[in-house]
Amino acid sequence: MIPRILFVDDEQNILSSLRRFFFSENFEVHTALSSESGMKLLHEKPIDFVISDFRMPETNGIAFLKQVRDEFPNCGRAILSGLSDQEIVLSALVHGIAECYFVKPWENETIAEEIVRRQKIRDLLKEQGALMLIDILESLPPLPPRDTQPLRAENYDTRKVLSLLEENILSTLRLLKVVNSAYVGIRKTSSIRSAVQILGPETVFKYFLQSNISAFYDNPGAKEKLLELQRHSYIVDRVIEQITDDKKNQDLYSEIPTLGFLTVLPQLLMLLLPPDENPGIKKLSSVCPALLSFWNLPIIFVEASLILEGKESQVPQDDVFLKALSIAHRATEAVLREGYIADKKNSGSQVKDKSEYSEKILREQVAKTAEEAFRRF
Amino acid sequence: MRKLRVMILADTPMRAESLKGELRKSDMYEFCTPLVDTDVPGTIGDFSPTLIIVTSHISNREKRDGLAGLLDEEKTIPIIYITEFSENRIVLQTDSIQSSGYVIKSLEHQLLKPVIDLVMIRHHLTRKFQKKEQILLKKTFNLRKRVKELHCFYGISKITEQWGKPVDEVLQEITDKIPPAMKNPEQTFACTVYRGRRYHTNNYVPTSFTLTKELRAGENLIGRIEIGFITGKDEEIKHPFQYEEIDLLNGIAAQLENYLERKSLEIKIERRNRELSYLSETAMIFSEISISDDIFKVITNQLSRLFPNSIIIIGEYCPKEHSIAFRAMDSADNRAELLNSLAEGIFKKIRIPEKCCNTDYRSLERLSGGLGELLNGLVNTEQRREIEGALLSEEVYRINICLEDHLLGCVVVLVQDSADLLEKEIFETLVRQAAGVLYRWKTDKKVESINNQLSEANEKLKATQTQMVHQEKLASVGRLASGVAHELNNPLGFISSNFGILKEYVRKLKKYIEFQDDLIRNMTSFAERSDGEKIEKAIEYRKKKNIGYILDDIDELLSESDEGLNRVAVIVNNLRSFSRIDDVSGITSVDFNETVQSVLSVTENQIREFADVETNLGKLPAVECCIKDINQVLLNLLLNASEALKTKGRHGGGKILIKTYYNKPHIYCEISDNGIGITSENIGKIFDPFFTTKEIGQGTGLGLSISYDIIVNKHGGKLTVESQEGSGTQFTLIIPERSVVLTPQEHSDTHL
Repeated sequence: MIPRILFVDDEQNILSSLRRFFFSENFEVHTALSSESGMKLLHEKPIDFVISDFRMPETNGIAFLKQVRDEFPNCGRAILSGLSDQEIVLSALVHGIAECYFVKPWENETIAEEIVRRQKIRDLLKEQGALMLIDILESLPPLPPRDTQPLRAENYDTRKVLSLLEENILSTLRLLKVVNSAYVGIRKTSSIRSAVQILGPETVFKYFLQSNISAFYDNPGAKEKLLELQRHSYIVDRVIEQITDDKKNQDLYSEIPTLGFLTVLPQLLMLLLPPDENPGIKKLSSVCPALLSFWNLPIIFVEASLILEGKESQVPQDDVFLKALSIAHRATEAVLREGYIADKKNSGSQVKDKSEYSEKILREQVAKTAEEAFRRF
Repeated sequence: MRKLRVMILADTPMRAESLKGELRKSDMYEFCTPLVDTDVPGTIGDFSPTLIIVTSHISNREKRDGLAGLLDEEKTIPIIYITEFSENRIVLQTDSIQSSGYVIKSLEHQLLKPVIDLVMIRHHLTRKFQKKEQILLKKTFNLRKRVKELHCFYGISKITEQWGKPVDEVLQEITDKIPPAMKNPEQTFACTVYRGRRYHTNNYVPTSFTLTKELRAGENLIGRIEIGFITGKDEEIKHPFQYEEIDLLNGIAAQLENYLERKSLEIKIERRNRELSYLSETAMIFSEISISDDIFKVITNQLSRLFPNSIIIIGEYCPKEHSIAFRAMDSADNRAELLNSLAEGIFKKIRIPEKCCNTDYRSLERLSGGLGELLNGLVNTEQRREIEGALLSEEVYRINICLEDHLLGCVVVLVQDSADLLEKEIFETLVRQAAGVLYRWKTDKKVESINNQLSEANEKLKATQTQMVHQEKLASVGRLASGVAHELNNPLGFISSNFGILKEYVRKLKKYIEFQDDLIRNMTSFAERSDGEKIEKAIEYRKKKNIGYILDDIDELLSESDEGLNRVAVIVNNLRSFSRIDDVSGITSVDFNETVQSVLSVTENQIREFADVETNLGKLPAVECCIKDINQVLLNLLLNASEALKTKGRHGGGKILIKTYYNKPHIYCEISDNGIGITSENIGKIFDPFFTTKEIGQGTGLGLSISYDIIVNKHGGKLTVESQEGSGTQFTLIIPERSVVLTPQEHSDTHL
């Protein structure tokens, strides 16, 4: 199906240029010189995707896209702007007003590919009846930081913010989504650590760690369930860190992706959805890869999700982090399910089998990390 | 008239009586007529004759000789021989010895009396003469002795007149002059003792037979002179010295005392003179003292000139602890350790006065007693010995350095040699001077320190202000740049978009023209066709309009434009760097030296043309920074350096030095070149946005200001520049080891 796009920009030359390219690429192209005329067009014609400039006379791009989101929730939204002010970018992305942010001067191909990709995923999710998941992260407020004491301005410290994020998978997910939706095509960020570096601890705290909790806690039992998920995710992340530590030391510039939350993503989604819209845990796990891709998370998250889904065959990469994730996830599940009690009789004796040995070590590690996690949560 | 006592020695009493009768006519005579055989000497003794008459009848030769021998004893008694003529010769012989006259027997009646008179007169005269001669001899002897003494005194005074002569030499020479003046020069030695030193003649031997005279200066005993006898038997040396010699010794002693008194006065005067000149010199040195000098060292130096043979310890009073702390000299004094322990002990012992006034003489204390306590607890024996030595001082001075009731410090002088003993006043004057200068110095120091603090604060303020102005400038430029970038991005956006499409169009058109050309080429072979003329026209048009060339050139045209567009995009991107938003590179742990190397390898080709690059990369910890940014900064700085060397060139000795080192918690990277340098009017502007010395179109003027922004604002570091026009420039890049965890507090610290 041919994607139907609407470009809104106050400069005719831009619109003409875009039209030329996308027309030649067989898109159905519509253009509007203002938000108002764009809105009018949306009402007249079916549109799949809207790309709007930010700075325009009368209504600006964000206000326009907000209106589009409210009136045409299934229509894809993006900003194409010469402005790259952090505040503007974040205000467009954090609340789900735009799905991604392109900067001028742009590469026509990048935009085209992104639109096609998103449309495909959208269609897929629609097929699966999971379209409501697209905006799920924006529909609910994030968990508050465990530390109920509000951070004072001088405490916007990278470590503090990182430790808060470690305990809060929802914020982690939102942060990764937003960071990767800005400046599409430039670089992807897979760890909360570098995400914090890019945005600055203050911004991260302001946008991702402060929110009203009341809406979420209306659901009885949700709090405990969420704690359980966070704990699991936390343990997995720590274990990945531990077992990939050697690798990290070899390569100074590598970063350890924050993959832990993927192990509990379906459960998290289930917790976020109202009971009447809930398609069931199986369906949710199966749409996770597509959803992550739609949220612009780096490919490693999608692959990790596929592996957790049991679809290793679809993953071409042989990545050390993906392996670590599987191991950590299994070990964590086992430890949390069965409980791990150190075998005191054997602890001093020689271990014959090497794999048995590493399994044992790993379990001890997990147990230790788990202990710490229980202390923290 | 006294009677003449005549003894007649005759052979027979008859003879004697006859003679007596002869003489008795005059009652002038008394007689004694012992027989020759009787005890003549005894009779002489009893009778004590004035005249002896011997008759020649004494024929016995032996008797006569015996008599002569006997008479010989009594030289003073004249003898008249009465002799036979024949015996004359014998008588004459005898007479040659003793007799005073003779009378021939035959003529005795006529001549005896006159001869007696004659002999008596002669005898009387002889006696008189003899007496006179004796007196004369005695007088001569005394005179000789006088001359010896005078010679001695003269010699001594001659010696003492030599003013410049050292006391040692003078005393030795005087000592040597003493024995020759004595009665037995060879047997006498002399020895002088003065202030514990002995001077003696070569023949000195220890003996108890000495004569001693003490030397005094006023009341005080200052020494003694001794003369002694070298050898001697007991009987001889019972009274070895005569009164004259004792007098002589007294005289010499007086002369010596005189000399020594004079000499000590002389020394005193000289000393006074020296002290005075020393004091004035010290005053001058003190007046010239400056804050940068080590005042305690200066004072100690001056003191050590006054006390060259003493140990000087100087302490500074610390009001906070209410104690005196030793100020060690930085001189190469190998006794430093000794001084330290001494000072520690002494200053611990010193009672620090509550109130202290310099004019109070009591502040000058003797500390000699009780310093022995210091030795307790000193384990090191060598040190102990040294300290013991130091404490065996002639005198210990201690004086407080005070000014207007304020205790400033304390000086302790352990005088090791009496030569260093001096008037209290001099010492006190000196210390008063020292107190004054010390007080002034301290005040100056305080003022200077306050001054320094103020100017430091001022500098800081200025730096902060500059920083703030600069940051403000950067911020406003950032806003401006981002606005301009936005404005440029729109046209740039559609231009580059269009340009992409245009390229595609051109590709298609070229293909179409090629297709047409092929078509026409195939047609010309059918020239007889009816529309051949039209085709020829088309070919002609193609030639006329240079379509072939255009088709060739169009690719170049497009690629040149493409490059231009890219360049514009880069500039716009640089502009946008100010808003630092689209910066998606993270901060990672980086080996900074590796970064330097990688940037060098990238720029090598460009730089090598102009400069040799030298690196001196120190050991650095992993640093957390944004590698992309740091790369850009290093690149900017390196390219600037090579730019500065353009005129000089590599063969002109162009050199770039990159040096890295670590000084916790920052890492430093210096990039210096020996190029053209930056003019002083420009150096304040180089971090300003859009400031460039390159020709228009050659640079954006953003490189350094972006670098500054990256280092200072993003990494919380510093970027400084030093340059000398004509001789080179050095940039120093300082970034904290962990820029990642900079809290705002730390951040603001590093900004200063």
